[in-house]
Order: sequence, then C-alpha cells, then structure tokens
Amino acid sequence: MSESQTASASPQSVKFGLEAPNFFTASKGLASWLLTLDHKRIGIMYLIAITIAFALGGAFALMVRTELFFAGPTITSDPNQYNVWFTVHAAMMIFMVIIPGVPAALGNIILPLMLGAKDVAFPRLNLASFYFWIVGSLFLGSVLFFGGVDTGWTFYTPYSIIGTGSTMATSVYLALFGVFILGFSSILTGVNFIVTIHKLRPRVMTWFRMPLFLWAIYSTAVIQVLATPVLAITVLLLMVENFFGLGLFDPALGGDPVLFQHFFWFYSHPAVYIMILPAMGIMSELISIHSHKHVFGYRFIAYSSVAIAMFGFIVWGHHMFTSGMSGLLNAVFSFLTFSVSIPSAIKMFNWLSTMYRGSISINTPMLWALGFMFNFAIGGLTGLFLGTLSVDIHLHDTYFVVAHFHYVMMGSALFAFFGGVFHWWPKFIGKMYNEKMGMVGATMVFWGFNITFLPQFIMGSQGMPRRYYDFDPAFLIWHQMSTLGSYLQAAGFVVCAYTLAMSLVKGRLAPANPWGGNSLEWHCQSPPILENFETVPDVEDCYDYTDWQYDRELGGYVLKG
Amino acid sequence: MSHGHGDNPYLGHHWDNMEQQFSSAKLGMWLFMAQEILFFSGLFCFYAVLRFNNPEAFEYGHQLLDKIMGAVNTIVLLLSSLTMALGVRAAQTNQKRATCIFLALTFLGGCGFMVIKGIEYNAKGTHGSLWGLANFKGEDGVQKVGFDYGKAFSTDLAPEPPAERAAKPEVASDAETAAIEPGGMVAEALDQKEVRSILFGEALPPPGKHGGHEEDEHAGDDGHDHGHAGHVEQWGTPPPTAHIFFSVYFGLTALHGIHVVVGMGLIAWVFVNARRGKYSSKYFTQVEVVGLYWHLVDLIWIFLFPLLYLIS
Repeated sequence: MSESQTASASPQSVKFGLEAPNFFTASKGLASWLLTLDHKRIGIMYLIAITIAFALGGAFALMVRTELFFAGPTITSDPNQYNVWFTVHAAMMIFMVIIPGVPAALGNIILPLMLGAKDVAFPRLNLASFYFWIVGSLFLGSVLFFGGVDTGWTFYTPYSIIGTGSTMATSVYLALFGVFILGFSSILTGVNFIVTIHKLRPRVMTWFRMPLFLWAIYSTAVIQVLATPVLAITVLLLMVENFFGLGLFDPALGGDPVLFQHFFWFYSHPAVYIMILPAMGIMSELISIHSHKHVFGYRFIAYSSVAIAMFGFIVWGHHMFTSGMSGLLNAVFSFLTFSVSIPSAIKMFNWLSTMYRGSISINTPMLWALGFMFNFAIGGLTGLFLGTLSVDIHLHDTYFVVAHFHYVMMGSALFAFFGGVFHWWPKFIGKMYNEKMGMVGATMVFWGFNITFLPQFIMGSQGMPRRYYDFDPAFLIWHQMSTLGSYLQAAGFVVCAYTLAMSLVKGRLAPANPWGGNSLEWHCQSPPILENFETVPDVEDCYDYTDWQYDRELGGYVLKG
Repeated sequence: MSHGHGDNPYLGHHWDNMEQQFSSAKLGMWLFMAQEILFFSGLFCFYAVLRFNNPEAFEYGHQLLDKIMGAVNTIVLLLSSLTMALGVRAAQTNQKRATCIFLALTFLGGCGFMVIKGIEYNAKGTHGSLWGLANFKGEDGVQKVGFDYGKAFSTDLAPEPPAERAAKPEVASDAETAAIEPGGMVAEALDQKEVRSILFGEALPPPGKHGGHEEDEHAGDDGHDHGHAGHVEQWGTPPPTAHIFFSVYFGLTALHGIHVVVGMGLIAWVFVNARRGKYSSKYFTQVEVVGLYWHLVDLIWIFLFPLLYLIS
C-alpha cells in the first residue's frame, strides 16, 4: 500500500464525502445512536452533552459575574446563594466539561482515525463510559433541585462534613456521588485509550511516528488511570464520613482535615494535566498543520508530554502552602512545582519554532491556537508567582489565583478544545463552516476572556479575596470590567455556536483534507465511513506536508501526482 | 483486514486476529487492576497516616480482631485463587467439565470468605466495636441509635457550664440507654475521652485503675472465646481514639468485601458461559481476565490481613 494508491482509489468519495456512504448513513433511528458502539457517534454524543453542560456552567459563571457588578446585593441578597453558584459553576466546568472535553469527546472521534483503526479497543466499554458520564452528570446536576452545594468544588473538610439534618446534606451526597461516577467514566476512557494506542497502531506507525496528539492523549490516559482512583476513594470516604462519622477527616471526631486536602490534590493537581495535556496535543497538530511546516522538535514535545504527566503527580502540595505543612515540605513542593515549567516551556518554544518561517494560514482553528499561546504564556508565568512560597502567602485565595487558573483551564484548555472542534469539524461532520463568522467568534471570546480575567490579576495582587460575595468599593471598576468581559465572551460563544449550527444547514461539503494535514485522519473521507478506512495508507511522517497540494476547485488538499 | 475475518465468532470486527484481541483484553485488565491498586493505595495511605497519628488506637483495636478467623479467611482465599488458576488452565486445555468444577469451587471459596467475614462483623456488632465515634462503644455494647452528629458536634451551640459537664457522666452511666441529649457542649473544648464519656456514659476510669462496672458487664460477653473476665482486663482501657481503628478496619474490609462479591458475580457469569461450552483453547479471554481480577482481590487481602490483624 502506498499513498498514491489511496489517492487514486478514492478521489470520487473524497470529493463528495457526505454524499457517499458514511457513518451517519450507516444506520438510522434514535436507538442506532443511543446504543451505538461506533467511536465517532459516541464522540458526537459526548460533544452534544458537553455543550449542554458548558452552557449550564457558563450560565452560572455569568450569574456570579453579574452579582459582582456592584458591591453588595446585585441580583441576590443571599450570600449563600452566591456560594452555590460558584461551586456549581466550577464543579460542572471541571468534572463535566473540561476533563472529558478533549480526551473523551474529541479523542473518541479522532484517536482511532489518527491510528487508522476501525474503532477503539473496547467499544462496549467506551459506550459504558459515556453512560457513566451521563449518570454522574445527572447526580451532579441534580444538586440544583436540592438547594445546591456551597462547599466550593474542592469539597474541603470540614465544610463538606454536614450532619444529615442539614438542608445542604442531600446536595453534598449527590454531588460527591456524581463526582465518584464521573471519575469512573474518566478512568475507563483512559484504560480504553491506552490499550487502543498500544495495540491498534498500524505496523508502520512506530511510537515516534505517532501524531503528537496521540502522545498527549496517551500521557493523559496514564494520569486518568493512576490519579482518578485516588479521588474516587477520597470522595467515597467523605460520603461515608458524612453518613457514619468515621472520624477520618472530621477534627471533632479525631480525624485530620488536612489529610483530605492532601488526597484531594493528589488527584486534582494531576487532573489539571488531564485538562491541559490533551489541549497541548491539539496545539501541536494545529500549529504545525496551519503553519504548513513540519513540527519542530518532535521528540522533545513527545517527551515533554510524558514528563508533565510524571511531574504532575509530585507537585500537589503547592495548593496547600498555607495549610500548615512543614517548611521543608513547602520548599520541596515549591521546587518541584518550578520543575513543571520546564516541559511546558519546551512545548511553547517548539510551537513558536514551528511557526517561525512557516506559511501561516490565519483561519478559525489557528486563531484559537494563537489565543492559546497568548493565554498560556500568561497563565503559565503567573503560575510561577504562585509557586514561589513567599509570594503565594500574599496571593493565596485571592483573585490572582482565580485569574491564573482560568488562564490555564479556560484560556488554554478550552481554547485548544474549541480550536480542535473547528479544526476537525469538517472531518467528522462533513461540512465547512463560515470562516469569517468563526474568526469573529474566536476573536470575541479572546478579547472577552482577557477583559474578564486580566483585571482579576490586578484585584488579586491588591488583596481581593476569592469566593467573596461582597467587595471593597475600591475594586468596583475592575469588577465591572471583568463582568463586561464575561458578557463579551458569552456573546462570542453564541457566535461560535451559531457558526457551527449554520454549517450544518448551509455549509459546503467538506473535502477530505481541507487544511493540508498528513496524519491518517486526513487520508480518509469526510465524514469517514463506518469502519473509517477502506485501506490504511502507510504514512511514515505525519508532519511532512510536501506530498499535498491545494486544489482550488475542490477547496482542499489532494495528493500530488 | 477484511470484515468477515477468521472462523472465530468471538473475534471483534476491529481486530486483526484473536491473538491481538486477547493481548489487548489482558492489557486492559492489567490497567484496570492498576487503577484498583491505586484505589486501595489511597486507603492504605489513610491507614498509614491515621496509624501514625493514633498508634494507641491501632495497638488497642487490633487485639479485638480474631486472628484465627482472619488466618482461616486468608487460607480460604488463597485456595480459591489456586482453584481459579486451575480453572483457567482447564479452559485453555479444552476441559469443559474441569473448568466448571474449578470455577464452582472458586465461587464457593468466595462464599466461605464472605461467611467468615460476616461472622466477624457480627461479633464486632455485638461488642459495639464499630466504626466512628457514635457507633464505637468499646465495652458497653449498647447501641445508640438516632445519634445526631450535626447537633451534637455543632460548635454554634452555647458552651455548657463546667459544673454541668462534670455532673453528666454520673447521670449517663446510671441510665445507659437513656436518650442522649444533643448539644450543650463544645466538642473542641473537651478531650476525646471526655466527649465519649458524656455522650455514651462511659466511665472515666482513674489512670491505672479500671472501673468495676465495666468488668461486670463484660463477664457475660461471649463474642470472643478467649476465656477472659472482661475486655478491660485483657486488652486494657480503650484509648479515646479507638473508634478510628474500627473506621479503618470497616472501611478497608468492606471495600474489599464489595470486590469479593463483584468477583463472585463475575465467576458466576463465566461459569454459566463455561457450561454452555463457550470457552476453548481458541477463546478463553473472559476466564483469564476474571481470573486476573480474582487474584488481585486475593492479593489485596494478603496486605489487609497483616495490616489489620497482626499489629505488634
């Protein structure tokens, strides 16, 4: 098999993918979707479900920001209600959107395509993971009907140890159980992806010929499998503690509340890398393909993913510098935290070097990628401030921290996620979207995002504490900027959603390779057939774009010759 | 990679051959077991931290566990692992009858383990050696049902006058089954022993001397066959943190027990399949994978047994 064979075998089906038989047309009816074992359909169901969760979580974010438009009561006079909003916003965005966003949703669709495989290793387990997500999300979402949770998404003890008599108790149990189940969804997806990458690579694709997205997904999956069970046992014990009063975390019963923090962050710090690593994998693809240049420092990017996954396990203590750990422990954790910046910086510099003298296409996916680079630089560097012990004592639990992790979680992880959605949309939907509209949406979100969170760095450094319902009037102007920025973001997301929705109605049919990529997913038709490939081409270097040339008539790239 | 590949109906459409499918299933199972080990590692860490913080609780508490029962259970589980391994071997070598027999024996081993565990739990129940401050009685064995944590430990309540506090133990120990009045104290103001004495009417024995009524109560306690006159004489006064040991004990063994039950369910499932003749030297993935799981459950118990029962 050679590349030319593929090209000659399929120009017709490549040209009008959506009109040829594809995985949408393979079977019909609601049951064929709900019970499907096809990774692409499961991925699309994830995307739909995550979009709903994102809209809900976003609505709570807007309520939080609106409340802070004026000092004192704005839209609620009950500070506790405000606590519920930010808790629900965070819990939903983290456990229901960002963690499954790239690996489970996009990864499901793209990973087997990139591998030239027909499906993931365990299709039934894959569907089970999706329904675990649904059930877990229903539990977590149901807290809204029981008064909500106000513990913060971290469930710190003893806030979260609530007697059965309290009105908040039911919600806390439901939320914890939801997180427990969502954790298992994540673990099983991780198991599935590791096996898929190990066992279903085509012979010609050695480890160091894999697309960098797969390296990132692989590293992520390792974290998912090794870190998530620790969260599972922790929230399980917290539930049992609540029911039976074991005395593990509750100081009134001889337990140790800081023990909970250690266990929580032992998962939740690596979880930060579950969120950012696959996003970095998308970045490696986006930057190289849209710069039309071979990715720079392939091995360094691949190793840096693995390094981040490993370092991620030994830095959790930096969340607890003010929790009364020993000075030695603080210093060790601070030092280790700085070490994470090395692989992260390696990635940034390699992306920049990839772009250097490339032929950069400014389009929607690339705008998201550039937004990532800008935001991640700020988010990453402010992480160094927080990793420094003395500075952290000043900044701990202020808006500086809020701004920092939003720059990483939203400005980076979600930006890459949206970049990935726009990048692969033509592949799995088979329609092109309106490029101008997409770019307007991305730009609006970028500016909205920065207007929202840059002022929070300033507020934080001046001492505005996080999670406060009320604030000193001196912060008014910054809070108002921040709130207005959040509205601009929301409008930007509406434009993005409209762009994608309109593409379904009016978009032109997508060619197999609209961007000129060379990894395997660009060698099959858009959208792919049920089993993805008729023949899997032998691609030795997926970042070598020299074999492709632009076909103006087709609006996409075709193989030369 | 054509679709209707091979003559084996158990080959999934996305695999090249049976070997690839089998090795993938095994890798998946090993990864799942890595996850399980991390899950229990969390518990082992809790164990380590809590034991380091409360060594006296563990030294006291482990004496109340029945080493003989624990040892018997270890042997039962080890034997069931042996029969499981033989069952896998039998499936690989096309011995349908032997496969079924060994799987049935393994299932029975699991039943035996759970029954012995049940007897142990029951004994703990009769002694009141249960999890948590509210359930752990140590000696009196009287159940305090309907205890409300939220109220009893709420720090919002006004502190109790010291005079009343001192008087309370007398009152409570006179009428042990009397309802405990929640509230009226600040937990942090009292040490654990005092809290217990107030809540549960336990006497506060002067150091080095045991309260007489405790021995009387436990002379008739027959949950343990150690032939002793009373818990206090044999095992010493329970430290105020003794309940933590039992929280850890029940946490670890109950989660392990759940895994045993799940394993038994899986064994029942492959047993039914084996009887239908599903497994042969060409396809035995399910038996193998369930076997791996069962060995893991066994392995975890091998850690739990010395950690809980054999503390010196």
